[in-house]
Amino acid sequence: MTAAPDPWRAWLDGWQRLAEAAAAPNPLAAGLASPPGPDPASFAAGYGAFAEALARVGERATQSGGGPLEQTIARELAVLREKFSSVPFGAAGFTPPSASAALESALRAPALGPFGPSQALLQDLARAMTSWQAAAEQQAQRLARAAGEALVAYGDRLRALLARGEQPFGVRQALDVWVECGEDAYARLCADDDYPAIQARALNAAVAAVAAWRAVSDTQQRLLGLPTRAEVEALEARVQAVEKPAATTRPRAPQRKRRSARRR
Amino acid sequence: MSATGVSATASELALLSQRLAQAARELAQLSPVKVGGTPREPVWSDGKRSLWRYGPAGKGSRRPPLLIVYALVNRPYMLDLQPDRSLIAALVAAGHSVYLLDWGTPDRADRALSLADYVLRFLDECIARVRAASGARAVDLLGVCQGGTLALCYSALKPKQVRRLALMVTPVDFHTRDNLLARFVRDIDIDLLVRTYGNVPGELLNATFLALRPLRLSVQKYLSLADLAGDREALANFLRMEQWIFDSPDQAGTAFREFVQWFYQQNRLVEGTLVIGGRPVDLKSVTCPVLNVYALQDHLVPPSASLPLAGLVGSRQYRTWAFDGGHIGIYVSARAQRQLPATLSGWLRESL
Repeated sequence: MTAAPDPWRAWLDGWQRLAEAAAAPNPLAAGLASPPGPDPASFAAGYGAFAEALARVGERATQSGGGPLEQTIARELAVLREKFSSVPFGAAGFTPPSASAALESALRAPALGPFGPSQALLQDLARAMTSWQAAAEQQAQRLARAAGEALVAYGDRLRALLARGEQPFGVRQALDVWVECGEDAYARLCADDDYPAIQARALNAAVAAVAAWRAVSDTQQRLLGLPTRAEVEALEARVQAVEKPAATTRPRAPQRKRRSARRR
Repeated sequence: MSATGVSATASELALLSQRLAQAARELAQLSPVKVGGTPREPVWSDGKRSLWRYGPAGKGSRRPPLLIVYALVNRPYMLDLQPDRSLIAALVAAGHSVYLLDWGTPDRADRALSLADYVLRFLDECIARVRAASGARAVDLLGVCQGGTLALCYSALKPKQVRRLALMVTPVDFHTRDNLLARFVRDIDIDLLVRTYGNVPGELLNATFLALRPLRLSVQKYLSLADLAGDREALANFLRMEQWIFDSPDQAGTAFREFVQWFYQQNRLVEGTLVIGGRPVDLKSVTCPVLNVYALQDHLVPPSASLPLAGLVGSRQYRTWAFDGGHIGIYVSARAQRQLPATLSGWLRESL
């Protein structure tokens, strides 16, 4: 007689499949020393941990025949929370490239000689990237903590259902409850006095990195004989200067004559 | 667990996957969808901004023309999304002569456009055009979301031009505790952002809006597609909404900086320190009848951000109306289609 597969196992398999997809090599990142987009390895690690722990919940439940399932869930979610707290997610899933020791050394070097100005720009860019990384990591830590709280809340909801002797629920309901727990935890995070400032700091640092990159890019544009940003902006200002007087000299909509004027 | 339960769970998971895949296939066949549909005529355009008239020409009509002022951050076709979800169509059907100001898409040459340009130049131009087209001495304004804030400022600066002012989900007090969007932007370095980007990318705004409810708006919404599989009409509705949500024009840098700094960060409208085009914006100057419509579950403009208007305007005929829904639902939900046009139209008739 074949043992019936555990229902937990069934829907956890879905998570497992997603984890496998997330773990697949990112062809766009192949060959790049510092992939510019999301870090596939980190993402896969986090996702893998999630799926692995949930899969173990299912396995234990199968082995125990559904008896001490509540304790199993609680234990595994605690493990999961621990794992998640160390996953290096970046801001909005974006992990900027790390600054190596060599880079730190380069940043301390004085920008001298004929290429000094270019070196100074590159150093500015590197510093901006480093600041961005630090700010993004700070935000990621807070998000990871919230994710852990969401998992615990999710476990509590499951245990409450099981304690009442109810079936966990269907797949859609399970996902909806997960979203609900996640949003609740995120809302609590956002309600913290300091989180909006942390998020703003990460965005400001990202924008500063873009600004530094543009400064580097402008130098390259100039050397290649292409229009720089400053030149394009000067042209834009001229277009605006032409458009504004055109608007003010445009015929206005006719106004109604005053009754008193008509009388005269 | 019983074998029946196991089978049911496995079946549900398989069905969910199948329906999501089916919905994805059907969505691909549907794209692109058509939006709008209510007949309209161009009244004026400067090549970027446009003024449209819906319904019959208003000249000779006993009802004053109604000019809709939409937000800068999204497209106004949300108000005429499709025939059965159209505030504009419903207002036209109720006999109103409706005009719509479409702010267009700022390009890089518009980087230096200021709020004074938007309020005292473009909006003022449109009001003059509406008056000329309709023969009316003053117009009714319907300001929506950020467009409501702009319409409110205009009404304070040029009160004689505005006969009545209706506002929908309009932020006024930007420093209330439950305004998450305001909390998010409070510490953002807007000067750096605008200096770096010039015009602020629409994608950045979309990411900010999604960050208000990331799992609901980025995960749950797409899972709900499983419920729509096989229903082409419902999928087309979904696609129209999806198109609108992410069809966000870039924001003219200077105007964006002024709006965020003056309203979100410094709350000047409430503090009484707002100056546009060198002229102080005194809300006590707004003495025309005002209808303030807000949504009880609005996550972008919570009621607490709209309701303080009562104590700020000089109008003696001030009314509020609460819609039981959210910021998006007030445009497109079935309840909104039933209630909102009737409320607006009723108020416009009553307060004549």
